Amino acid sequence: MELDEQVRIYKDRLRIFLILFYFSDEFTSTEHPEYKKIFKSEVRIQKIDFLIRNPDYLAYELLLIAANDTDKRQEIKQIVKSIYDSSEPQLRRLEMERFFFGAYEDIDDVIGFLKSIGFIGFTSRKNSDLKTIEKQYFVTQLAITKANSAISNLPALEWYIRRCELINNYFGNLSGSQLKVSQYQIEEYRNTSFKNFIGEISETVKNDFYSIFNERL
Amino acid sequence: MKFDYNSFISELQKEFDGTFSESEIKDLLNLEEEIIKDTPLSTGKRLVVNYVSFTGKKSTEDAQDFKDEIIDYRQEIYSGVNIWVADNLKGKSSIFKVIKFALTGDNSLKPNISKWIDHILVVFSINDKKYTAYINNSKRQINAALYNKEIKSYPVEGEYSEEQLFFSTSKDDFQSKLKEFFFHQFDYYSLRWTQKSPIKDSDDLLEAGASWLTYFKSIFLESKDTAELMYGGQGTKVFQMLLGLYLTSPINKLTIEKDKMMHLKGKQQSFDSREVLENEEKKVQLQKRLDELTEKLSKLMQAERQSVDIISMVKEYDQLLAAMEVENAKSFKLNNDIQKNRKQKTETYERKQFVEEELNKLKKEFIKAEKQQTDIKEYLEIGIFFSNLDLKACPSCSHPVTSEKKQRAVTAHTCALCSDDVSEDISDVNTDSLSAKSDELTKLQEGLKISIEALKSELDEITKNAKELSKVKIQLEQQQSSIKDTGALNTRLFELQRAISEERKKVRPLDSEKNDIIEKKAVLNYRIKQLNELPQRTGDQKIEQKIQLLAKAIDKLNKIRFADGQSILKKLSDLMTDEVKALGLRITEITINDRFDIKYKQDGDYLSFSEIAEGEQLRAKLAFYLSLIQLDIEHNYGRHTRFLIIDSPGKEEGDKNYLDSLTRLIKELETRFGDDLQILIGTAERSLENAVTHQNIFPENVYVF
Repeated sequence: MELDEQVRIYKDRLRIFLILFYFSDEFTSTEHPEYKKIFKSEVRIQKIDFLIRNPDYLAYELLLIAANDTDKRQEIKQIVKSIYDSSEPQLRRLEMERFFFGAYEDIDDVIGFLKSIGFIGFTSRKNSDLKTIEKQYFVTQLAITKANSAISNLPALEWYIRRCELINNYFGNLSGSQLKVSQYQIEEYRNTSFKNFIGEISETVKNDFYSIFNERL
Repeated sequence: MKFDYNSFISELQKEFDGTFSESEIKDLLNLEEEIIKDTPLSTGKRLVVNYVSFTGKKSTEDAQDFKDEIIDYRQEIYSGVNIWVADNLKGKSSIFKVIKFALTGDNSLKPNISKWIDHILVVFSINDKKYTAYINNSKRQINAALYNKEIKSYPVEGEYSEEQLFFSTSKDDFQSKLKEFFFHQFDYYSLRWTQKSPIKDSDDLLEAGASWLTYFKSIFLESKDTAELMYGGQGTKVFQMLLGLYLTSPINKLTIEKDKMMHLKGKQQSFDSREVLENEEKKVQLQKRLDELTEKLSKLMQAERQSVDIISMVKEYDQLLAAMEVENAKSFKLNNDIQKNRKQKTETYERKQFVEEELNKLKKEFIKAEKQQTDIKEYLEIGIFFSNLDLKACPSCSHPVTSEKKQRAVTAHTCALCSDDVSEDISDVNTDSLSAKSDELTKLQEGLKISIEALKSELDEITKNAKELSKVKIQLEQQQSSIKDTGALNTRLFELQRAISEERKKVRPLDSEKNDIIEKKAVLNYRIKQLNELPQRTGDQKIEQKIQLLAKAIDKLNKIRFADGQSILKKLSDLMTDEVKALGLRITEITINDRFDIKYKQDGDYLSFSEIAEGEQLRAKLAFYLSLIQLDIEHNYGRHTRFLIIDSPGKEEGDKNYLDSLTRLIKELETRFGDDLQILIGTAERSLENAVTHQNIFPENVYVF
């Protein structure tokens, strides 16, 4: 297996775990006492993942907020600036294909892996069309312990933690469908046809940034 | 022809009563013999070439494929149209030139080809009588003979001597004897003309006459002569001879006589008494004119002294010029600087673009390296994060993976989850090598960083330079506007120039006029002196009157000839009109005047032969000769030999229409006049193949001999 593929697999595992870890709510269950957190809907995973993998889209969404919310404007300005100053759109970008309902990538393998090592559990229901619906993910105590103890010693992974916190801060309260709706407002995203990679929108971001802050990125 | 010579004389005498008596006029004209010499009636004779043969060897110094080939050409030729079809430069013209050589004694073969040919035999007939011309060309001087029988084998010395009409050992002799022979046969005589001696400074008038060779031009129509209807200045002589109109010879004789007399008159320094008187009058006039000029000259000399002072103007002009030079130099330098600035700016801009591109490239590379670094670091740390984690459960069935299961899997080298054999799995990813790679990338990035910094500082430098250059540009432009308006200077300069030149003109014409007057005075003085030193009267005192008499006689005879020949000329011009139309020319009418000039009416204009479009001249020429022959055949007038050689009639006018009509014409000639005339045609036009019975077709690239 090539290094690139290996790296992709590793990165996917980490990102998906961190999404489940950071964006989940407290949970207690007598049936599964080891489950401590719950995360609902795969769509939400996908949408958050999209924002992590595409810093230009994140910047765009943040600028949308800045345009409407003067309180957050200066803070967002600094965030967007630092995203571009550190060349994140080029450095951190992991292209994602568009699927039926927007950005989507098969994460079943990742979920399977996380489950096999006892990090998560999950449940789902099948509807009358035999479609899997109402996916629920649970983070185990084992995972929480491991994350809390290990991650602070791994500096290369810190960016992910900061990014999750940032997204959580601005978009954590949105459901998958809500996230999807806002992402759909972006022309490039909307116009990307099925199974094609969603393109960069840095030019749009730079223009928007200039029109809001009268400053070049 | 009703022409009474005696009444012609007495009529002339009446006009010159008191100057010449009838007997004086008779002596002067002396036309008794010439009066009966011409008749337009055909001799009924025709020339037919029956056979041509020649032998030799193609000796050449070049290595040609035909080198040293033996030539043995024999060709029967028939009445009617005979065609040689062969590519150009394959010897058609040479055949015709051989025939011409044998019939006229004039060798116009190319020297190298003439060298090849040793013996020539041409059998021809005049009506039913056969003759053979033989030339031995193997030596420097030719030996040639004419026999009055048909001979088809080259005669050896002394052979057929009884049938020999003459024998020549030189070309000139052969030519003159042939001329005699053919002139006699066809009732030709030598129409004459005068020409100035070709010897420089000689004012002798030479008399020349048409030879057989001259008339042969009406037989052999060479492609090179297409642009002229009749050959050279003697063309009308040939035409007149072929027509044989009454009084042609007397007119010719008197014209020569008149030319000679006029020449003599010019040479004579003879004056009669009236002229002396005139001279006295002339002298008085000349003196008067001389006095006038002397007076004018002295006036001019006075005027010259009062010439306008133009020195100040010249001075101002020079100063202005200097000022302009200074401004021009400034402007030149400035323009140079601007040019230089522009060039530098362009260079700077180009360099800037290059550096920017380079910088972008390096930045991209740096980020790529950075991304690889990040990937490696993440990979290693994620590896650590997920390490020491045992399989806990099957994600599919949620059954726990027990330590026994795991142990079994390790021993069996299988996967604890899917039980696949993993013994052959080799992890490509070696953490040591990854660290090494990371170090490499760090080094690469450092290098890139240095390059990027260097480029960045260069870019800064360039930007600074560009700003500086822009500043210089603005300065230069400001300077440019400060340069004096040379336009105004120029205008003033021009004004001055004009004023000066006008002033000078006022002076200069005085100079030239002065010179002119002095010159005229000298001429006048000379003429007066000449008049004073008049020679004594010499020579023929009546020469002027004689010339007038001759001119009158010629004029009268011309009118009589033209009136008498009218019906013949009409017949000829009608024939020509039909012929040119048949050949596809847009000529509606043809006229012939008393000087034998032929005019072609085309689109309402009367054109001379040379004015007809080049592409139509050959057809007009063909029409001319065919008509002359037809005039003989159909109307029994004229004395063309009814024999034509047409070399390359399709060369210049190769359009399809022309060739079609030519083919048609040739066919028609064959059917209508096949028994009455003979035409030899040489052509490279394959479309003329199979137009007539007697044809000699040579395939492509094949030599005729």
